[in-house]
Amino acid sequence: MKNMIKYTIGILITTLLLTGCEKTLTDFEFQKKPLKLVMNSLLNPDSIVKVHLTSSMPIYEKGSQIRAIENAQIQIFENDNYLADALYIGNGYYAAVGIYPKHGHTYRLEAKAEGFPTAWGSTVIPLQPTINEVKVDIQEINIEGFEGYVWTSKIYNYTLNIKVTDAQQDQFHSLALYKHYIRRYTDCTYTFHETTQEWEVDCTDYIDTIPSMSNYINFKSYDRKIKFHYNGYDLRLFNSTDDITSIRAYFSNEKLNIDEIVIPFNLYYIEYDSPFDIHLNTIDLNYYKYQYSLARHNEVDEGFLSQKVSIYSNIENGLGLLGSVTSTVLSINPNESSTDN
Amino acid sequence: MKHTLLVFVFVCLNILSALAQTVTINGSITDARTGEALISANIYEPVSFIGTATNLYGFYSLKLPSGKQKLTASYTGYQSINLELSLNRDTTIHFRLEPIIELQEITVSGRSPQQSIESTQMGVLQLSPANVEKIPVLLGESDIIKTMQMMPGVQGGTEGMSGFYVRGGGPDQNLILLDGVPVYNVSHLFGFMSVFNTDALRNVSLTKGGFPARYGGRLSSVLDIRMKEGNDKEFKGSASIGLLSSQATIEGPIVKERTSFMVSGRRSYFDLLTYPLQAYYNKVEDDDYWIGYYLQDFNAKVNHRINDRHRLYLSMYTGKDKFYAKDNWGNSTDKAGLQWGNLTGALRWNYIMTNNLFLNVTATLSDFTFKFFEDYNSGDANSRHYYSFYEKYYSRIRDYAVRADFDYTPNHKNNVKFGISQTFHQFSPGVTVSRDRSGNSSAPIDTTYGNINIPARQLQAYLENEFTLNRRIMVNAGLHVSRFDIQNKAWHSVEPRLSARYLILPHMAFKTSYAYTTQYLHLITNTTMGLPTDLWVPATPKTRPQEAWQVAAGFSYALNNAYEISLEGYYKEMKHLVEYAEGASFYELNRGDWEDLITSGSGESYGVELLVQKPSGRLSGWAGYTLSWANRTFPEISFGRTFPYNYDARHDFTVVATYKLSNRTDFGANWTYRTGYPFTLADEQYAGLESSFSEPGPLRPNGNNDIIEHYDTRNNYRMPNYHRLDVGFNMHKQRQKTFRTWSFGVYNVYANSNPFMLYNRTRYDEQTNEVSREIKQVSVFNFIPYIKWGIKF
Repeated sequence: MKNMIKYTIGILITTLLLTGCEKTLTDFEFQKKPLKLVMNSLLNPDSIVKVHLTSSMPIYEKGSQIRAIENAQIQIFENDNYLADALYIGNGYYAAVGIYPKHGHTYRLEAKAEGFPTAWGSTVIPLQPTINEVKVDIQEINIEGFEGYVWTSKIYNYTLNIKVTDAQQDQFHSLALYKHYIRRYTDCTYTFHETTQEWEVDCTDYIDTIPSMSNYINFKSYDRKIKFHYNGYDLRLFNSTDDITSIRAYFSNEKLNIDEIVIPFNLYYIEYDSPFDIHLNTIDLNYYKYQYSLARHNEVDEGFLSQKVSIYSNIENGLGLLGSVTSTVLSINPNESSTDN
Repeated sequence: MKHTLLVFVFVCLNILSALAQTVTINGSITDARTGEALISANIYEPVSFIGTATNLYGFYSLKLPSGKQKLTASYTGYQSINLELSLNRDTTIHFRLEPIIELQEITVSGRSPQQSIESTQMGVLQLSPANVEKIPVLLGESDIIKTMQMMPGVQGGTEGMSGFYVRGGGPDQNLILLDGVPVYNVSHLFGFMSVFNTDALRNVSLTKGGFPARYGGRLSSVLDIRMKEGNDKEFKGSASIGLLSSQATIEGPIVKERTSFMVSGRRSYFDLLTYPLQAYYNKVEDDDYWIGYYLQDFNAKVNHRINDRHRLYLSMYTGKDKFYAKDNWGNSTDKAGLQWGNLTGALRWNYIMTNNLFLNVTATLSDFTFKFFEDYNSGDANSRHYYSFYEKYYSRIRDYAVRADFDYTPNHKNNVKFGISQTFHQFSPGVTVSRDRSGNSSAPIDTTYGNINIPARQLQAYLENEFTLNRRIMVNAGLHVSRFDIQNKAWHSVEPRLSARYLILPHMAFKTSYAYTTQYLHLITNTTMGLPTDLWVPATPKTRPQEAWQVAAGFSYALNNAYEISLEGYYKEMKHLVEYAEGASFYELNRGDWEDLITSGSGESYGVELLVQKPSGRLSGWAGYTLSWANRTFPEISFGRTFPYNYDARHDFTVVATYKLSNRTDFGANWTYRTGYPFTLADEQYAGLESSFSEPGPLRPNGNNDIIEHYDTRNNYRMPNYHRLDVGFNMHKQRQKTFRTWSFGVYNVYANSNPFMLYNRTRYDEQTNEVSREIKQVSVFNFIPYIKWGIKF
C-alpha cells in the first residue's frame, strides 16, 4: 500500500521531469565553516570510560577527511566533581583506566584541543533494567502448501514485563534476542555446462541465529510503546500497521504514565525449542534521541521532497554524542511457560 | 481582556450614536444583462460622498438626510447611474447597471481605485474571474489561485503548484470559502491545478490582513470565492477545450427574473486518450492491465427570488481526482486506486427584515476525503482456494454548519455587522480498513483502526461596526469570539479587530489595522510541497489551537481613479504552530497517536508590499513588489534554532499586464522574479557514534551510520533565484449567436531553468579513486506552449 502511493508520486515526478531538465550547479556557493570537535562516547557501568575524538569535515571540499585528534585533553567529571583525565591510546581513542561509570550518576566529558573551542557533553547513567516476568504462550499452526500439503509449526508468543522505577520519569530501552545456534543447513546451486556436459555443484553452509534472521522475531507495531527498530540492515520507523519483524526494538514509557512496560513479541521456528537470551538495555535520553533521529533520517532519506532530519547531538561547541547504557541479560527456555525474575 | 472590553464599548457607543432624522434607501445593484448581483458596487451621494457598498449578495442600505438628493450607483466596468430624488420617506431602489462593452476595456478587478482608498480594509485583493482567462498560465488552464500567487504578499510555493502562502503563513492558515463554505483541499493533479473552475465563478477577493470581525478560524488570509448565480433573463452557455481538460457551463432562467440556475462541469481526459494505446498494448502482449487518471469538477447553483424581501440560494460543488490501476490474470483481479475530492453545499436564505436590517442564514456542508485502496480477489468465491483482501487507508474531514449574519445600517455613519455560527466537525485523520478472506477460513477478518472519528463543535460570534467619524476618518472595530469543544475540553478565544483609514488627501489615505486570530485546525505535512496526503487535525486537549496577531500600516493613493498605488508594511507573530516531528510520516498516524508525532513551535513574518494596479482600460494589470522575512522556531527541530520558512523569499517582483489590441484580439504577459526559496543541505560530515562504539548485545553495527551528514539548521541554503516570462494571445470571433476564442501562449517563454528541487550527488572517479559531491538542480516547465479553444453562446 505504501508503495502504491510512492509509485503514483513517482509517475507524476517522472512526467514532470520529462518536461524539464537537470543540470549541475557549478557556481553554488557553500558557507565556510570552522572545523568542529567530534566527541563520541557510550558509557556503560560494565566498561571503563572510552572516548573517540575526531574532527568534522566539509562535505564539498575535495580531499578533506575525518581526522583523529591526538593531542587533546579529555576531562571526566562525576556529579560536577573532577574525576580523571582520559588518556590517548591511539587512532583518536582515549580511555580512563579503572574508571567505571556508576548507575544514577551524572558524567560530564570536556574535550580541549588546539584550534578548537572546548567541547563538552553530559549523561546520566541509567539504572539497571528489571524484568519482572516473561510469559510464553505456544501456539500450534497448520500451514497449507501446494496441493493440500499441510505441515504444523509453532509460534511462541512472549510477553516481556519490565518494571518502571518511576512512572513519572521516562525510561528508554532496547530489546534484542540472541541464540548462538539454531540450525545449520546447506544450500547448493547446480549449473550444467554444455561444453563439458557436466554439472557443477556449489554448496554453502549456513548457520542461522536469531540476530541474523530478523524474520523470526515479530513485534507488534501497533504497540505505541515501540518507537522504532533495527532490522539488521538499518534503523527504521514503523511504516505500516502490519506487524513488523525486527531483531532489536526500541521502546519507552514516554508520555504513557505506566508502572510497567509490557512488550509482546512472537518467535517463529525455534527449532528443538532451544533456549535463547534476552538482551535488555536501558539507555539514556541522549542515546535514544540519537538512534531515533537516525531511524527517522533513514526513513525519509528515500522520500521525495521529504523534510530532511537532523541527527541528534548533545555535544556543546562540537558534534557527536555522549550517551550511556545499562544492560540486563536473561536466558529463556521456551518450554517454561513463564520466568519470574 | 481590558483592551477587548474597550473595543466592545466603543463599538456599542457608535451604534447608538447619531440617530438623527433621516430616510433609508435600500435595494440591490445587479448586472442589467444577467441579473447577477454586483458585489462591492458603490452607491453614494456625490457631493457629500455619503455612501456605502453592496454586500456579498448585492444588497445595500443607505441613510441620507431627507429632501432633494443626488444618488450615484457605480461599478468598475459598468455604466454608472445618476439619479436626482426627492426623499421624504424610506425608499427601495434596485439598480441594474449596463456593462461597458463598446469601450475596448478589460476589467481585472470590480473595485475602483477610489473605492479602495475610501475603504478601511487593508491588504485586500480583488479579481474578476472572467478576465483572469486573459492572463497566460501554465497549459492554458485558467486558475484563480495561480493568478493570486502573482500578487504581492502571496507566495506560490513549488513551481507550477496551486498552493498559496500569505505573508509567511502556512497553507492551512488560508480560509478558502466557496459561496461561504470552507474548502479544505484546493488541489487537482497533486497540486498542479486548483479545483476552482473559473467559468463557474463570479467574484474573488483575498484578504491578507486587517481581518474584519466577521471572518474567523484562520490566521493568515481569507479567500472568498463566489459562484455565479445564473442568468435570470436568458439562457447562456460557454465551453472550452484545453490541453489538460475541457469544461462546459450553462445558465439561464427557470422562471424569468425570478428563478435561475447555473451548472458547470470540467473533466480531464488523459485516461480517455491513453485508452486506445493501452488496449493495443494489452492485445499485443496478451495482457489485461489498465491504468488511468482523471480529475473532474461539477458546480451547480439555483437561486429563487420569492419576493423583494426574500431570496433563496442552493449551491453545491463536487470534485475529485482519481488514479487507478487494474490487473486481471487467470482468475485473479487486482485493483488499486488513489482518490481525493471535496463536496460542498450551501442553502442560503436572504431576508430584508427592514429597510436597514438584512439577514442572511446559511446551512453548509463541507467534506474532504483522501483515500487509497487495494482490492484483490483470486479464485472462485465458493472454492476453498478462494482468497481476497481489501485494504483502504483514508483521511477525512467533514463539517456541518449553520450561521446567521446580519447587516444593520442605523444611520449614514454606522454600518454594523453581527452574526453567529455553529459548526460540527468530524475528523478522521488516518484510518485503515482491512478485510481478509480465504476459502478455507470460517469467517473473514475485518478490522478498522486508526483515528476513526474525532468529533468537535465550534461556536463563533462577531460584532463589527464601520463608522465614519468625519470625512477623513473611518474606523472598523469589532470583536470575534469563539469556542471549540473537543474531547471534553473547551478552548476559547476573544479576538479584537481594528482597522482605520485617514484621508490625507481626497485621493490618498493612510490605513492601519490590528487583528488577533485563532485557528482550531492544524494541517500536518512532511513534504516540502502540499499533497492530498497532508492531514487536517483538530486542536485537542494536548494540542493547542494556533494563534496569531498581525499589525499593518500603509498608504493608498488613487491616481485619476485609474491607478491605485498602495504601500503596506506588516508584522505578524504566530504561536502553537504544528509540524510533524522530524521524519515522522502520515503512515504512522494509523497507530492513533498522531499527537505524539507532532511538535509545536512559533513563527514570525514581516515585510513591505508595494502594489500598483490599473484595474480597467485597454491596458490593465498590476505590478507588485514584496520585501519580506518569514521564520519558524520549533524547540524540537534543528536543535531549537530559528530557521527560514520554506517559502521565505526576500524579494518578489511581478508584473501582470493585459492589453486589448482590438475587439478581436488581446494580449497578456506576466513576468515574475523572486529570491530562491530556502532548502536544507548537509554541508558537514563527521564520525557517527557507531563507527567507534556499539550498543551492548548480540548485534554489530552494519556501517550504515558510520558517517553522519550534518547541517546547522533546516533551510540553511537558498535555491538560485527564480524568474520567468509567460505570454498569451487571445483571438475572438463574434458570430450572430456565438463568441469564439482561440488562445495561444507559452509558459516560461525564454525557457529559464528554474529550480524545482536541488539535491546532492556523490561521484566516484575510478581513475583517481576520489569521491566528490556536486549539487544537481532539477527544473520543470521550461518553455511550455499551450492552445485552447472556447465558445460562448
